[in-house]
Amino acid sequence: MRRIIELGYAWAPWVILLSVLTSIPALWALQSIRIDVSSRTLSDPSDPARLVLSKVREEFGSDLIAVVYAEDSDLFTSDRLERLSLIHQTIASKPYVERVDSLFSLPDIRDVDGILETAPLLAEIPRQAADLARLKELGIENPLIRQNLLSEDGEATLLTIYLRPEEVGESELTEVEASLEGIIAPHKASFEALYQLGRPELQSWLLETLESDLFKILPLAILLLFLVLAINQRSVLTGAIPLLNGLIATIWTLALMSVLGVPLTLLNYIVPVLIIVVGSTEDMHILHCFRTRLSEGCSGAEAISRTGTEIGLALGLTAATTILGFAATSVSDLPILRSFGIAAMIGMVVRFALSALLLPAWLRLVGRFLQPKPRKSQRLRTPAARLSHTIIHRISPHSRWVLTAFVLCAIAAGVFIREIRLNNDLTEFLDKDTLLHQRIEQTAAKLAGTKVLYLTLQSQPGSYRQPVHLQEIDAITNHLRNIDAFDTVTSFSDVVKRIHQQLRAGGADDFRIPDTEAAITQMLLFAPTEAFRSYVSDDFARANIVIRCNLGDSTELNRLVAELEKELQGGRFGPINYTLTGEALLVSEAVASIVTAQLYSLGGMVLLLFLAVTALFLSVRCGIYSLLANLFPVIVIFGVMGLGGISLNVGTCMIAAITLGIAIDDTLHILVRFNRELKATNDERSAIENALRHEIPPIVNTSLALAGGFAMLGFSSFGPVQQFGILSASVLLIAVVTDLIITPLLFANTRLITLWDIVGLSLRERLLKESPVFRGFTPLRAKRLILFSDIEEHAAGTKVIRRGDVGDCMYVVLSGELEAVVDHGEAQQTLNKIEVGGIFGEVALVARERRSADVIARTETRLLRLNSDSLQRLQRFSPYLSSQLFLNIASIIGERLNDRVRESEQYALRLSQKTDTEG
Amino acid sequence: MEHRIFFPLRLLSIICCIFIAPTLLHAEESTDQARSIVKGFIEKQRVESEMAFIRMDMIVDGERVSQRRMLALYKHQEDGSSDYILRLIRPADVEGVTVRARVEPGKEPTYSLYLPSIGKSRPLRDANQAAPFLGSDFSFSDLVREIPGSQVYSVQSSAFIQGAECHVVRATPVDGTGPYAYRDLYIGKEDFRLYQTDYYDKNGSLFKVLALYGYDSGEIAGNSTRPYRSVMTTMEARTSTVFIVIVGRINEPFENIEFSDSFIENWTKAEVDDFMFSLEMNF
Repeated sequence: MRRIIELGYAWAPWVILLSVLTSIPALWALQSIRIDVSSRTLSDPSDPARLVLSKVREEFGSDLIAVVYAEDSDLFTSDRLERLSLIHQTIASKPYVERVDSLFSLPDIRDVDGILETAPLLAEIPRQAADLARLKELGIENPLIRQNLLSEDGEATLLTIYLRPEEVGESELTEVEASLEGIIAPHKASFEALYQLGRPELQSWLLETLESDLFKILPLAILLLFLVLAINQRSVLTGAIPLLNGLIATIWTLALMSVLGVPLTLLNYIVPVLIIVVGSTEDMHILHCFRTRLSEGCSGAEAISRTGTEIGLALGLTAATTILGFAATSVSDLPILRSFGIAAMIGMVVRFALSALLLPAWLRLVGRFLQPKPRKSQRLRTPAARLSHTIIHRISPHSRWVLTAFVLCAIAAGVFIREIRLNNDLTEFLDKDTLLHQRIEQTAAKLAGTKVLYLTLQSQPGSYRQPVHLQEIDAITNHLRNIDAFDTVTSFSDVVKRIHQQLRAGGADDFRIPDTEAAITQMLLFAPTEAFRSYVSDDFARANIVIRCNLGDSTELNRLVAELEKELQGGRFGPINYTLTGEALLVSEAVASIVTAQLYSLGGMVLLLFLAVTALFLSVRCGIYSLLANLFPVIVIFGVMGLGGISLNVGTCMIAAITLGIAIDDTLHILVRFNRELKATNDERSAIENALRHEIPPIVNTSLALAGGFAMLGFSSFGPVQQFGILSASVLLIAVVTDLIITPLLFANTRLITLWDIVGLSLRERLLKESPVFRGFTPLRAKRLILFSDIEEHAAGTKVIRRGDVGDCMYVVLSGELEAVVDHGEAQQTLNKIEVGGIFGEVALVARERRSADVIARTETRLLRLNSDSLQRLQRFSPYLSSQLFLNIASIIGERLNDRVRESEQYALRLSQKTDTEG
Repeated sequence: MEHRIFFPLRLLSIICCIFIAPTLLHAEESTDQARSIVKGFIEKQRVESEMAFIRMDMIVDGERVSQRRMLALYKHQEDGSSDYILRLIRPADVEGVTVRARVEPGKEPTYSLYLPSIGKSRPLRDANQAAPFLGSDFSFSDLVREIPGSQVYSVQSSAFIQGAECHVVRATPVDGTGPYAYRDLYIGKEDFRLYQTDYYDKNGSLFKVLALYGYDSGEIAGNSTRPYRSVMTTMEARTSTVFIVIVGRINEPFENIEFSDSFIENWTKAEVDDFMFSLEMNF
């Protein structure tokens, strides 16, 4: 990492030139980025149910529909109906229109004064008010028209426009919307309400809102970030540089998305905001460190080099966790989540690359202007110092109570998590206050909901001309009508009953299915095919029951569908072969994908972070503690979602993985600093306090900037994006609190070593082979033992042990050479040389005795010091290592004892031989 | 000043005389010619009565999806009116379904429908003439003979259809009503027979095409003013209905036939069989 940063600094002009030159074609490429705001992005395109839906559409009609809604308390006047007729004719003449179903075109089979009529209700518009009132009455009476084309009060009507799929692609929908608007606009003043709804209008609205959102949120995020950085660092340049990097990263990301075919969707349009806000944290750390080194008198090159050395590791790790957090969402089956994950991942990689390469290049260019100005007064105790002191000395002593309180909070939140509802509905994206949402509600209230479900029954050719099968359809249709959530249910049995009634010029009793197949066949010969083509196939093998509703709650819709399927399969309506489909249903059923995405992304993220932290600090406990501290805010927010009725949707399902990836950065910064402080102080409590004192300012600053940036998404017009922004900001703020309180509590009695420490520690082979202390140790375990213990370094000539002192520790020579000597006044007697792997002072470890000789370093030496404290600590941190070590020490002591006994025996033997000789 | 104002008006009137008047004269001439062609066509078709036993095939995307057989009766009445009966004979489930039409001079045709399952004839509103005839590509209005008084005719051009040179005569409804904006009739210059009709909808798009093949065909048992095969194709739906005349009779007396609803309601299967047998129209 350091080398990359140094490279960017050394080749600054070239790096800047390359960045600018690359941005020019990128600017050109990003203009052709595809935009996809369709509801298809909310369901799995590989879902086999989509094939079923496409077959149903092919047979019974496309769902590429626009509608014109007209409402007036006096709708049935010749003037208004003439206007609607004109609108109908003008729309029907457009090349993008397949057909228009309305009171002006849909065949209406009716008996009028003994004469049969199959022409549309408003094929001719009478002038007389009485005739108009009669037509209104006829329309309301007709169950095929009521609520489908005409409201129950006769004050609202719909023109349903079937667009030609071959003429109208996603990109043409906005043109269709403009064309339809042009047709209806001149007549708007003549109606209380006259507007269009449907795919073109929704597409157009979503595009406009997406664009306006981007131009609203992006400047806000830029302004916020600039203010935070500039005020915090007291420099306009430190505010401007990350923004410049963010803009370049945004251009590159959008260009890459364009090249890779990743469309801009209702979710990933916020990626530029995330690039600018989240991506700036790395810049902030680099700038802070660089300026600190400059203030210490380093040159630019020295400052950048030391910056790379000091924070390179942490930067690499935190960038990796952030990228992984975003990447985790790309595992979803839902295109909208996948495209978000991919776009965000590209953005974060690009942004990190620019932080590592381009930022040092900018620093080379303008670094001299970034020298911090000396502050007029230096406070002795900064807020960070006071806060860290409070945490360590006031809160830590009550760690059990504090941790219990956190656990109780998590349990309480966990209870509410079960209340979270799932939702995957496009209307979730519509703010309740928007005109479009109000219009959808108005249309649904007056006529029927815009969501369409198709229950298609399958049988043999000709079956659905038979009374017995029509009775089946009728029974199912009536059952569906009893479900309150369904606004209208229309089927082929309704058409047949209506024709039968009208042909017989009968009353309510004749509104029934004829008794014979011949009668049905004869009636259908008379009826125009337009009257029933949406409800039965040409060969009468399939019948389609059309259900319209306005349910915006996927959980409720899925529950209803599950109940319905249970009843259909339960044999209540006989043995039937059916499919239940519809775009709304596919989207609704894709909530399972949201849950799966949540499980995969969160589970994957937890596992990855656990493995990363465990590997980095070579401690499972460390991995678990880090996750616990950062999962807490996520659990709390999910509890809030359950309590506040906020659904798990395509926006909120991303919160956990993304915020976990970002929030754990703070923990890593604290732990890396803690590790460094431990080496310096050799005391956990002081180390954690120092670590907090150093890390509180950047952690609080970056967290506030990030939370502010995410909170800006609260200004979005799309519900899931709003919720994602505000809840993510809340998670990050809670994460700061837990990081500053729980992390010190959990790690206060922990000794950390990092993978880099292990890699950086070189041990001589001889040490491991010959030292009895490391007998049976692998090199990795020996290194861990050494890094967990205390290491002393002595210059040549230093007296490490002084004869006569009371000792409490033993030493192992890691490098260098020493001598044990006994001073006899003027003469020194060398007892033995102690080389690499050798040990001395071991007796003091078990018995506090006076040292029997001096031990003097003959060269520069590094010694491993083991005393009862360090052994106890080791026992706590690594029971396995300590047991192995105790065994070796016992063996060494045993050998020493054995030597002493042997020496005593020899001495006694020599003494007795001497006595015998003297005797 | 006065000169300046009147000069352009004078110029305009000269231009009108030079260019517009011949156009108007030509239009008048064209209309006269068209009337004459249509008159020739109608004369060619003129019979006192006609019966035909017809096979009706319905074709979707080139595949026959159903086949029906029907009896078509036509009678020119003394008062200048015309009566039609179209009765389905096969298949059994639709046997007896009958459409009756009556055309009186200067009036819109009237229709009534008889369904055996209902047991009585029901008059259809004249607006239904646009509706498909018994699920076919023909509408009710396509089944009656040309009614000159209700149309304005103009000669458009000439064209070769089935090797015959034809006048292309455009028939536009006088009052703008009816299912079509206009029809182009392809009438043979030599034989005044109709070879093709193009139907245009209100948007001016080609909606349906009726192609007629095999006048005086030996395939028809007996005589008929009808061609052996008439194919009506709906352009957008890509569906066709084919009428094949199996047996034809011209100017036979219909002594036992009444063109009334009550007759149709009581015309039994046995009587229909007897009627067809008497005309040697067995199948």
